[in-house]
Amino acid sequence: MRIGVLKFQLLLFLFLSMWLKNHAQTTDTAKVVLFFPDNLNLYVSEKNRAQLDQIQLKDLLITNFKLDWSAAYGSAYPYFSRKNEYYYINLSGLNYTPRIAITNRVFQYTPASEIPELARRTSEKINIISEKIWSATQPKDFNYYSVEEKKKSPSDPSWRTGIKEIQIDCDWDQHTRTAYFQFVELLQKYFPGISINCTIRPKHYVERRKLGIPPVKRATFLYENPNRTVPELRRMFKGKPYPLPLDVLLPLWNWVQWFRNEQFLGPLPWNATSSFDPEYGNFEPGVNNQFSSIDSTGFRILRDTVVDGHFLLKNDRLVKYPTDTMAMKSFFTTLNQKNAVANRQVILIDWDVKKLKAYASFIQNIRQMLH
Amino acid sequence: MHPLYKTFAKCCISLLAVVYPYFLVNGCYEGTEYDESRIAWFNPALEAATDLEPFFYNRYYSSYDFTDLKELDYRQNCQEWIQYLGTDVKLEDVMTILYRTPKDRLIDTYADGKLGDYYADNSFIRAVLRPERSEVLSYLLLVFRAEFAHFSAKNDPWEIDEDIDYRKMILQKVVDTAEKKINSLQDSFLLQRYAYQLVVQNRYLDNYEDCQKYYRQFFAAEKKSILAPWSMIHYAYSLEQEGDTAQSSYYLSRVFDQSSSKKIRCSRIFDRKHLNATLDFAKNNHEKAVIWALQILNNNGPAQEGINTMLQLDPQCNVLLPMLIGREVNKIEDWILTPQVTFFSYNSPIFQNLNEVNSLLTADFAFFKKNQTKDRQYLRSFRTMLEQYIKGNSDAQQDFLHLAIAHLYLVEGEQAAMVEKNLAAVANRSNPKIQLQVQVERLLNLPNLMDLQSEAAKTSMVNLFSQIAALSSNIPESLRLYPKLLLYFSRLFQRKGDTVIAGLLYNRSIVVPSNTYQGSQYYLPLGYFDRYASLTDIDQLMALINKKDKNRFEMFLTEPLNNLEKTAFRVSFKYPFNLSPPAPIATYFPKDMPLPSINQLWDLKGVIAFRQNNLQVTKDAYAHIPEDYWNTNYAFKYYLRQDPFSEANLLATEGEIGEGVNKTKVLERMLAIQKEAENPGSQQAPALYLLGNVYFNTSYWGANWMMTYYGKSSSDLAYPSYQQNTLANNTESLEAYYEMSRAIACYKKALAAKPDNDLATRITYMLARCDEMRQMAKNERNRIRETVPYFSPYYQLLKDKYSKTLAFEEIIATCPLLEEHLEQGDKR
Repeated sequence: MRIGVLKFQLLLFLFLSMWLKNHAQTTDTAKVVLFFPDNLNLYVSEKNRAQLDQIQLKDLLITNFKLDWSAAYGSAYPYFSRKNEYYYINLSGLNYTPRIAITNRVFQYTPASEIPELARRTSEKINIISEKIWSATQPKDFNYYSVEEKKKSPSDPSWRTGIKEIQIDCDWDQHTRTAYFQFVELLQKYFPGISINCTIRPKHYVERRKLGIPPVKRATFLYENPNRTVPELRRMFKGKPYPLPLDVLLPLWNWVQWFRNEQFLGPLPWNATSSFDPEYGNFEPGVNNQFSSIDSTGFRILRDTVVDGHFLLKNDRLVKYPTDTMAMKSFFTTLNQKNAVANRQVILIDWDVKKLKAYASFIQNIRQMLH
Repeated sequence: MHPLYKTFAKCCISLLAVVYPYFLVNGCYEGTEYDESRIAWFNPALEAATDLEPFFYNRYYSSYDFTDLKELDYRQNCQEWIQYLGTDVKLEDVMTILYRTPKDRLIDTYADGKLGDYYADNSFIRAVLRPERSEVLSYLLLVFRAEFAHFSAKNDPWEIDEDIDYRKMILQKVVDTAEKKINSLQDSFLLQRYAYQLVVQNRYLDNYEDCQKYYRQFFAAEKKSILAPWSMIHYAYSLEQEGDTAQSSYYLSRVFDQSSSKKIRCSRIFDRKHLNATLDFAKNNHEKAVIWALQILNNNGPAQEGINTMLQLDPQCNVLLPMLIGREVNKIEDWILTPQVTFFSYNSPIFQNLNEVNSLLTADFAFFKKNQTKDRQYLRSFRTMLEQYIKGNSDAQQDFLHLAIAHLYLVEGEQAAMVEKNLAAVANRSNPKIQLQVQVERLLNLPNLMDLQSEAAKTSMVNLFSQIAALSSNIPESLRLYPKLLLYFSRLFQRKGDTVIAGLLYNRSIVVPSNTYQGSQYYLPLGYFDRYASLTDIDQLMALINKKDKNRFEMFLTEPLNNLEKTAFRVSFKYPFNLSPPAPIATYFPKDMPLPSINQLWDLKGVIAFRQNNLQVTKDAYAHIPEDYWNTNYAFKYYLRQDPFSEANLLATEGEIGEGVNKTKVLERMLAIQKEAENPGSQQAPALYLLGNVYFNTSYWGANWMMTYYGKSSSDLAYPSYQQNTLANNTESLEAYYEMSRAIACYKKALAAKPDNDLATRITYMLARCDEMRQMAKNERNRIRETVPYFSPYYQLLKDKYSKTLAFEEIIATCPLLEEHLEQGDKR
């Protein structure tokens, strides 16, 4: 485990140094953003809010919904979507960016003829949810009912005036790039004045010739696999910079790494698996025994099951991967030393009061370095 | 009355009926979920077929729509698949895919091309993935989509368009495909399956004509396949939709007779209003008997008429009749015995506080008496019917009927000889279910045959209880036969005034909810004795616990709880579809249960004596207890938290026990002060004042109330369910606790004993406070809300006579609101 942490620190350092080498360019005002992935409740208590204010964290990136393909429905559908707007409290005065996550399967299976309809539905869904969240971020004297009234006339979506960007996350591949890019272009037409920002993963960065460049004005580099090897990282940043201005998303929350036969299959959000984790208390031996603990770092799957839309098979291994703030700090120190004004940084934070507290000084440091 | 008013009145009454008990019920309750609290000592599973369990007269089953607990229909369907695919396919594998896996998961996995990988070990999937079985696979994928549409799909998964109906689209697709297939397929198995889809999905698409057409074409003559009754229920439904209720009911009765999984559904939707018209469709007496069975099922009232008709029509209706007869016996014993044993712990018509309920042991309420008379008449009538039936039918289930008759004699009471006679007629003693029932009847008959307090009766009791324990796996677990029998015997010993035995038996039956505050782990073994024991009882109990050479009965009373006594049952959900049968949950009882510890008993003895104001006995009892006992046990340190001799401090915060607030020391000082208070002199008034303070502080209103009781609730004043029902109490001790009668008496005496002005001020102040609180207690109990708050004359006295004293200034300083209060008095 110790070696694992060191390895991670080293790799992260290396990655970020290389990143800076290639991407030290001035863009928008840099900022730290709080991220709500789909498995995090948008409930912000007064205590949470006070802490946010204390560390002056004002920007939210909120996953509105997540699209997946359903063979049973025979279409794409939002298998997660935010609903309980009555819980959208204590958000007043914060800036909000909507985020939509889409699985690659959606573009694998949706026939080309249905892409326009998919874009239309997606835009409607974005309208409905964004409006609710946006109105919750308005000052308290803002009359919510006026928004409710306006909802009746779809041509006047007031929320759009307050939003600059919509982030679309999709792990597309060479077979789905055409459909995905077409979808993004169509979606952009529904939102004039708001720019669509697509996430790209390391493979999209490296294999840009094969996988294409999304037809947008800026993108966000999503670095989610901590198991990349040194040569891979070197290769990644050797060539020309990416043709789009890039933001960066770093995992500052707790992941579970998913392995099958020692092969890394991807990250799973910790929250999704925690209900089976003995440490979290609601593990009842003999009842939820899909998982067995291996040691303090993780567990093994005992029975085929589904977690967060992923099929986990018997004998798969899940290893906890806690964020190492020391490593992150050393990266930002380097950044500062090089006196580079970085891109806007988007940082993923596990929405947990205790952790937010633990990260407070860290976030402060980053902010100082960014400006 | 105008119909609208009628409806309104009905709504109001129903709402009140639902909501009012909620307001009445108060206090803490610790219980187990879904357990049957009614008395059911006649085993409903004695003779009934396994798929009839959902119809038992049992809260556990009636709370949920259990369908086919043993999955008999599902298994038959899987067997049909195995017959078709070949015997190398395992039954459990078919069950896994058809009934235990969400269908969208299967469809998605197939779409991803991973079905074979993910279900590599499943022989059913392997069989249908063979290239030559592509027709089978496409059938399965189609019906998986239909099932997904029925059970999981949303009409519009995007939730943006109200006009979209995915469910309908998918079902229509199934119908279209099936219509093509029945004209082209040669494979008779698949053809029948597609035809079944046409019956089912057309029904859900409201195409009743097509539903009926395909039923008649493919299933009217089908005898073997489970699809026959399964499609018949849809046929019945579509007949009902077209207004043919009687024929629909007839077909429902046929489905009920032929299928396990549809039994509950049929009984729920069977229309009881058209009995005669439905009977006209019946082709023979057996079919008529089944219609009668449906007519009386789900009826929780007397059903003798229906059972009698069934006996006449089809005495050989061996499957349904035993269940219905057992159900009727369970009803009768519930009506007559439950109120006496569990005191209406669930399904209570009105909240009974224990004083009232306890009186059921000795005297009857008018409504209770009336019901009992009616129920006993019904019991006799039903029993006579069974006796006549058994005489005329030598091949009927003789043992079962003799046991039912014996049980009814027992429930009726004072029929020991008839019970014995029927038990003697039971022939097959090797059947464990019958054996168990015989022993239960013997045990219940014991009090009729001999004096329970005799040694012989006690020995028989021990023997019978141990035999019943050994056989208890033969009765549904949720009924908790064994502990309920213990509770019953506790009641019997209570009637005889034997509190020690009654209390220990009660503690052994603690898993049965009995409408009694059971409280924490500390209080659990103590509660019964706190409520019922006298000082002598406590001495006897301690002697029994300490006894070295206990006899068998004493061992039986005092040994640690066995599994039947400490296990309660809880239903859990079996993902994704069914409720699993009740599973044992560990109940957390103190390890010495049923026995309280000796220290607990010394403390209880002291508490009881203290309530009786018997200070010497209290002190002697406390002398046996270690000094730090109240600091380390229960919640004593939080509610004995202030020097009880000090002035009342109502705002005392919770905290560690203060120095000297040790029950033994308090009693020592009380006794010393009591002596001073008895003799005239200058010491008398201060002594009486201090004594008054102790009585105040140990009352309901004081910070040391735990000197007197083990529990307290904010609703005690209005519903003193726990304290008032402590039988060892008398009115005097309750008045001392709630209305501070002892404190007030001491203060009055102190005032008469010529105290100095400062002390007189303090005494008057305390008298005023006690007086106003007493008034509050009375108002609360009598539900009186005063428009003008009561103002004690002692406050007037305090103001008129003592407002110039130093003590008055001190009192005002500690209680600034008092000045305002006194001014209010002036305004009146």
